[in-house]
Amino acid sequence: MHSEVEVAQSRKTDGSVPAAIRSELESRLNAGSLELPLLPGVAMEITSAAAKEDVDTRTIADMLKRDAALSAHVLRIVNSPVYSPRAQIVSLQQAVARVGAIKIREIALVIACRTGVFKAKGYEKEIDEVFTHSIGTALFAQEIARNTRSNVEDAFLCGLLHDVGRPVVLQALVTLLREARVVADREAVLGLVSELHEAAGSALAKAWALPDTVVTALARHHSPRLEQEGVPVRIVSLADRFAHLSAESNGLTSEAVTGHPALAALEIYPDVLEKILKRATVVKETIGVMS
Amino acid sequence: MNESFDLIVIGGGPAGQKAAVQGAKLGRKVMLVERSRSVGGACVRFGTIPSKTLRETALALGKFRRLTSHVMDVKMPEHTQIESLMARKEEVIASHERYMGAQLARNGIEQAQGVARFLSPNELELTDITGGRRRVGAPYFVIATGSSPRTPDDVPIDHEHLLDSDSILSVSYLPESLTVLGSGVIACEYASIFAALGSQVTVIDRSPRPLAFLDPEISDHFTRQLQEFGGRYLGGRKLVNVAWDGLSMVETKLDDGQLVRSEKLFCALGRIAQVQGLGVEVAGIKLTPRGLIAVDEHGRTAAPHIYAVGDVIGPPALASTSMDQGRRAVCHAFGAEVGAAREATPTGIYTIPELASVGLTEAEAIERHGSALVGRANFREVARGQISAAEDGLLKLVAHPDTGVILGAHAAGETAADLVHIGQMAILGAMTYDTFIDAIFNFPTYAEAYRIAALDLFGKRAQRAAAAAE
Repeated sequence: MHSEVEVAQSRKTDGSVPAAIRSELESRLNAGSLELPLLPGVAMEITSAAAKEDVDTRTIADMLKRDAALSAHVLRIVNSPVYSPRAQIVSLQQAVARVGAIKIREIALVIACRTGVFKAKGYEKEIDEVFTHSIGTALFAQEIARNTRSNVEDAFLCGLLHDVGRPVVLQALVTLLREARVVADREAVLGLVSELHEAAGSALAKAWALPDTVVTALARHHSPRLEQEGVPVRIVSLADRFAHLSAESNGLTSEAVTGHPALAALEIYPDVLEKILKRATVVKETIGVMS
Repeated sequence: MNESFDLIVIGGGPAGQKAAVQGAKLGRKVMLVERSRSVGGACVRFGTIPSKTLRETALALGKFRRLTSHVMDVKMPEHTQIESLMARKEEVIASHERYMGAQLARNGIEQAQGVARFLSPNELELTDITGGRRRVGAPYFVIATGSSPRTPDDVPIDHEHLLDSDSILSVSYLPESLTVLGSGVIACEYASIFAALGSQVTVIDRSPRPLAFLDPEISDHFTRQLQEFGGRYLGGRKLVNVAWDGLSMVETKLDDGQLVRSEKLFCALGRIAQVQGLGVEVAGIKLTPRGLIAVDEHGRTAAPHIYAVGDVIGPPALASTSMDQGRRAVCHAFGAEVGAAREATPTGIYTIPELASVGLTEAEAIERHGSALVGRANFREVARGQISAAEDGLLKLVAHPDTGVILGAHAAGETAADLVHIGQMAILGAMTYDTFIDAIFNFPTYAEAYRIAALDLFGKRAQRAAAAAE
């Protein structure tokens, strides 16, 4: 811990994040004492229940009922064309029975992230972008997984949460700066967030008891040696790039991604790449439904 | 500049590897082109090795239950992670890759990662994963590009809910229920594995019985075991419609009005030759109406300096026969001596229980010789079967009605795929069933089944002779 004096001394800065604050943030992260947002109660219960055996649809539906906002979101998403091309779903139990406990967990996580985790005062616009980008990454990860015959559900979850560390670090950093009454440039703040988001994200995934594949993907999706990483890490790394490019108009082209190390690591040849890129329109429509 | 070789092999699966090694052993300069980073191709990552690793786990669990007389039960929790049941997969793959890579390197074979396309009958363009191109030439080529799952237009494979044999093992959790389309080797192998691990499996096919090319007594062992695992075989049915319901279940409608709902669906309705992008027409290679590369008895395509081997030329499409084809094709190309092709090719099927066959079935022998001598050994009569709690098994011997020469051996049960090799040697040596009666076998072994089956055959023959004499 650093004393108030030390922090105060570092106040006279040029807009950069003072070294003391930076090291305070890092040491909290390393010590595991960084304040992590709790997965909102109901979403947490659903996440752990979905992984258990003999979980029935009634139990999950009852859990959902206790959170009106979550229930409304679940019904809205379940009734969207992405999930339900057929009959309309009116009850929560019907929703759980038809979507399945694992899919409900996915939806609950999306909503929980939207409402509980992706927050940081003064940085609403950036956080919104992170969330939209995360949904995009999740959807692209799904398409990449499909085309490399890897697990599609895992890919979605890893993609959705890959940047969850950003709002976590941002929130902690904003609080620290406020406490120390230091004003730092947005650029400097976001730079530090970028630097630390992998570590914070994986710490969060561990705290939420998410599968190991997710923890690893969150920790290493910017790894410079993708060929040494597992498949989910490679997929997220590539999906991350796809999602960034697709946010620019006409940004996502095969020329723009050629040479990305994940392509070689995943053995994606140009013909397969074309197939994935063709799905970009559908991905964009789905982002609209989910964010 | 164009690099030249004496032989270029396209495809690094079992057939391509053996072709390349044979070329090098004959002192030629060989290049092996493979799409994947490691030799063995997709089959190592998606096929044989992972599925057999999973099967071993399923077998071990079943055996544990039987050996402890079900006093100790191993229950698979719902949503068990499939990956955790294939814990040894990565080690097995790594050691296989190491071994194969070392063999190719030792033989001085140049390996290239990329896809190949014929620019002319003697020139290939190789495109690597980054799009980099180079040209290579050779007087001889072997195409061993293998096959990929066939996806009928009305089965919307999404690799998430509806899977094929490339994606089936990517499911993270053991599905509660699985519909299997098809009744061939791949369909039945996966049906067995998932049923043994606790999934509710429904196998659907047009064929009235699964594995139709086998002796029915042998394939019955598969069906019976599937039922014991809680699964079912719906034969003689046609698909009307297959679709994911958009939420949680795959719905399969059949022509008899049945609707089968399952968490996942596995489509194994055959495989197609992988010739896309190869530029076969430029090279002067002809395809069959089914899209396979047409070859003569030496494996030569319509362009006589280009050979094709393995799955890309169609049945039997077994790793064992493909390796032999690869070796023979290269020997033929360089005029090296090679023995006559063997007739008695064994087939091993890694269902639970294991099934295997060599030579003629009873029906084929009757068709060819008017009648046949048949002897059976049930594994219940074999001490080894009792000891290993593997009493569900059968060895069926088929012999010539007059001479008693062994014509076929068919087995179901533990080690069946190994067991039929004894029958194979008897067929190749034109031995009679007496050989087995007079021979001494190790005790307790499954091989003893040969003696038991031969005695059964002898007994029946004697009865028949006595009846005829009366």
